Amino acid sequence: MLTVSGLTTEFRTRVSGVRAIEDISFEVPQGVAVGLVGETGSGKSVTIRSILGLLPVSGHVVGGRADFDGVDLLRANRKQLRDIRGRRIGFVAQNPFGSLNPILSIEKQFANVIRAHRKASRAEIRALALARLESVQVRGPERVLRGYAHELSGGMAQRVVIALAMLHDPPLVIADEPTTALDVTVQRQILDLIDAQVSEGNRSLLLVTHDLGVVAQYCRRVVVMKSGHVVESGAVADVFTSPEHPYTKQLLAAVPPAPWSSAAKEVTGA
Amino acid sequence: MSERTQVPAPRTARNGFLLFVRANPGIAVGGGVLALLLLASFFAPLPYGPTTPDPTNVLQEPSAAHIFGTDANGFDVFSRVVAAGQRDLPLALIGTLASLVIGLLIGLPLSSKSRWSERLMRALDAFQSFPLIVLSVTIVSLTGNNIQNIVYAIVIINGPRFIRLIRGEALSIRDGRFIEAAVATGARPRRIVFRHIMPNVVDVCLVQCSLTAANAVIVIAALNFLGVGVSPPDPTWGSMVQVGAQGISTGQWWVAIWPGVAIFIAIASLNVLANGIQRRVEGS
Amino acid sequence: MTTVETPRQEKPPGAREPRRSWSARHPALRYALVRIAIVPISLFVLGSVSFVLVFFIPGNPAVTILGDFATPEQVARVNAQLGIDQPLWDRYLSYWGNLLQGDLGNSFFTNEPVLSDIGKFLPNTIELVALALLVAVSLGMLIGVTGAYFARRWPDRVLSGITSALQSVPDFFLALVGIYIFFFLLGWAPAPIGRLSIEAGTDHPPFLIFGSLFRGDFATFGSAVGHAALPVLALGLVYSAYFAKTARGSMGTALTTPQVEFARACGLRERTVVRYAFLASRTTVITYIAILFGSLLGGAAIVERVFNWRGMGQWALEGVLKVDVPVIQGFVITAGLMTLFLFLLLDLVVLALDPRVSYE
Repeated sequence: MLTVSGLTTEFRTRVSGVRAIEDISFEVPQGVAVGLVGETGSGKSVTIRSILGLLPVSGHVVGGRADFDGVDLLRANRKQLRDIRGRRIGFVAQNPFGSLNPILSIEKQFANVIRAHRKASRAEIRALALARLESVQVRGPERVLRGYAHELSGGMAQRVVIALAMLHDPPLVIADEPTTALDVTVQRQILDLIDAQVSEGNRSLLLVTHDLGVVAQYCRRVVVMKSGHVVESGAVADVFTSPEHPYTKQLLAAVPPAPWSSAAKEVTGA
Repeated sequence: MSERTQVPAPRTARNGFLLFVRANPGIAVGGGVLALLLLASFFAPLPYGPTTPDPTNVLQEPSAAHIFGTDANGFDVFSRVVAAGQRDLPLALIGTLASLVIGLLIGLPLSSKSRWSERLMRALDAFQSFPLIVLSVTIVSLTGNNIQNIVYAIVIINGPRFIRLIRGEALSIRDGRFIEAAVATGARPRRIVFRHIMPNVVDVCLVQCSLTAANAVIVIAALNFLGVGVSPPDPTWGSMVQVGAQGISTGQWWVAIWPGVAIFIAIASLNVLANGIQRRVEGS
Repeated sequence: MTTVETPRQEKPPGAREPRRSWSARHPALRYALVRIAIVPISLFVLGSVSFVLVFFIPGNPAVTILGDFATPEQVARVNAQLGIDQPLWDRYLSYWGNLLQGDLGNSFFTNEPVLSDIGKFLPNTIELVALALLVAVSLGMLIGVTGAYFARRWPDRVLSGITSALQSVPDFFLALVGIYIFFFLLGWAPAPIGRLSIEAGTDHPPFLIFGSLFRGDFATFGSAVGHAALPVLALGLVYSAYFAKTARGSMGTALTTPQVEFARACGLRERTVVRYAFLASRTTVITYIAILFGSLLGGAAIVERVFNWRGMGQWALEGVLKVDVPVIQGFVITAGLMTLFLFLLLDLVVLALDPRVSYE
């Protein structure tokens, strides 16, 4: 599905360049959820932004490939990229209030995303938006459509974002810490929702998080990053039961025993 | 030529200077030109006395004898352009400092998010959208037509910008974490303002100071151009442009253009300096 | 008892509870009303400030104004109009009485009623400022948005170089350079002697450019546009640089928000993304237009003098330089009124554009 190999990205100032990530390689197979974990500043964000072509001006991809749909995303032109974003790859960002446009009605934002990739009448847009809002369990979808982002709670807003990301039924979904900005009480609901949406359509998921518990519960494979490098990757079951890299061990040790407590015990006991 | 490997040179003063120039071309060029202008205006030997006219040589085109020509009174334009910096530049700097002080005195106490301080800021916006140059011409000419009083004009026009800037900076810094920490350790509010907020405001203020100085040069020139704050025969760039304006539609370009070019160079170097400082603040 | 059950609309659980009071349910309307209610207060402050201006005059005002060689009659006339001999409070009251009747007094020097002078000169200034603002805003916006879009790449560097250069030129100096090049050297522009050529005189109907276009008088229109070109360009170019800098800054910020990132990640067209970033920064931009208007009015005063434009700024400056108090007061009040209503309009426009109503 998505194969990243040797991805290296630099941030350049006028005087010098800094390698943010180096030689990143991993794979997101069809229908599999992959967790990308690491502490803040380990380069998770830069990795996905390099893949999606969303780096800030000072960021430059200097090497590697990211193959998706037979296209190398790192070398795709703007038209190809635009066509893939939103239609073939759905993106869910951290903060829903940052993602949604505060001055447009929710309906207008649905219309924008739909019309970015195909022609659609107002009635069509409305029907599709309503259906999608219902499928992400937004109550009172008509009212939400008419309203604006600031009228929503964090959980509701993130549901709207997920609905927008899934509008074109993308085979790959990239979620960048989709619950960090939310209340603890709704974090699980949102993750369950993403999980349901992804497995429903047999989609692939690249879930960026710093929470190993989340990875253990929702992902089949895991990629561990530290200071711009991939230190370990593999099936969640393998990595969590027998971590090879000392950093992974540290990470696992730092997590309180949770759903995969047997694994945690083994690690801490080791 | 693959000399990417840098040999760590001994840190002499000269070396440090060169490194600074290479890392901050804006500051070096802007500051350098400015320093040159200031030094020249005070110490450069002038070919003619800037306030002694030569009535036999009126409106001479630029030539070897008068490289910038002479004006309608027989003054040597070059000597006057150089000497005018003695008045324009220090006055611009004093006006800038005065604006900064006003900005600090009003901006820091106003750096709270209370409703009335927000409203005051809005009123400040309205005040700024008044044609302040006319107001300042009024005040300068009413308070006695001295060149020193142009400082009032500079403060009226630039003070509000400083107030807004300093308030905004202090607000954003006050929201920051380390202020919380200082409050938690029981520091008094005044201590927070002066020990924690002030140093952070300094960087941004430096940028605004150079921009203000640039604007001050324009304000001084504009007022002098209108004949406000001028005491003939002392030269200022604005009054020289005014003298030259009369001949511009009949082709005597040199009388007005040279002092104008001096204004341009002074302002441009201040703008370049401001850009340089901005880059440095962003870079670090 | 008949309680009419209003069908409670299904409300998303996340939506805010509406509060009871009328004003809380219509925050935008309440804000607008409060904003309009402030206008009389602002007018009062404005009028009082203009009254207080007289006290800035040092020494004996009449002598300061008329000079040392004034005749006693002249001094007496000015003193009477200033009302020096009356108590302060009486002067203040009669000042407001006159003001409310639309009487701004007569010029000390020409003895013309200030109000009729303003009626004569203001339209010229409005035309100049409106056209210059148009040039400044459209050009500045173009430069700023382009620069922000190509942030730190070569178009940004070139454009910021141009704006820095334009910002370093005083408007009146650019006007003089323009006169030298386009009138003296090339002969493209007419002589800088007013709004029309010298034979046409100065007695023309107000709003020369817009008026002649409206009437279909294309000969006058052409001549008026020709005469307006240099002053409009001198002002417009200089102020477009200031505007470009603001637009570049706020667009630059708007283009790096997570909102733009999400829009791009959804595959929205760049055109759409830029349009929304532009909309997001419009409050800053609109506010800056209002601030620019003031500077432009001041800048116009000087440029008007260079071109003998016979506008209000030139009239006021000449009044200021002669300490013609009623003229100064008339200008302060007129410019202040324009500013006040511009800002009222601005606040209401911003309010109408923003569904969030972030004011209270």
